[in-house]
Amino acid sequence: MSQHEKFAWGSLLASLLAWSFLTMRMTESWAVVNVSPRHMIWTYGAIVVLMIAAHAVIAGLLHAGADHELEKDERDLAIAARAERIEGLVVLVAVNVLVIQALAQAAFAGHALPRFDLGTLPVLFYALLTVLFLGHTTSQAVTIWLYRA
Amino acid sequence: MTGPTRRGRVSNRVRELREHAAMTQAELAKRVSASRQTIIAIEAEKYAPSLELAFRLARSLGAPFEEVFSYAD
Repeated sequence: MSQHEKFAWGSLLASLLAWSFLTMRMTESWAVVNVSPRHMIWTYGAIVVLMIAAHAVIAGLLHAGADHELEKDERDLAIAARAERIEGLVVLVAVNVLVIQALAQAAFAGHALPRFDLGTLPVLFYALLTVLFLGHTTSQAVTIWLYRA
Repeated sequence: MTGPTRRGRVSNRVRELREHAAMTQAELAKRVSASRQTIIAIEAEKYAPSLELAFRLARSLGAPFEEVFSYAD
């Protein structure tokens, strides 16, 4: 397994851990609870710090155990570019789902689509961060899959 | 086009020529400035290298380009 694949595994696990932390802080029984802005700012800050620290630790561990493999060659760059394209598509689709859902909710009160009340800040905060995590985990999962394909 | 390819379209004799030259994958990787994993992927025909890397491989293996790589429609 290459150092870049190991990094992708670490990053995937770190982002799942951070998303679990977000979910733990923002939901109860899978429903977003109405928390204070201070609570959200603290949660956001903790997630940023957690992600930066986790990626620094992963990079440090891999750097300690590597000889000369940390530089990306053309295959690594091709895989990263493809994973980023797919991440972009996933984020595009997810944002469009949120927009369509919000518009449907406003225009057609009795629509049959799943409902999220994006009008409240906690739900908007949770939804946007979840979209970011969805994009990142997709990118890392695609990276791992491409290294193994 | 470089990148992950369908197996069999761009075929190569990298493994055969490397073994004939008594070279390890790591040695060849170092010579062409690629990772060992990339050499493994090229030998398994899971990755088609760029023209630049393909020429470097051919040169490192001491063989003409068309002897190392072939393309089937």
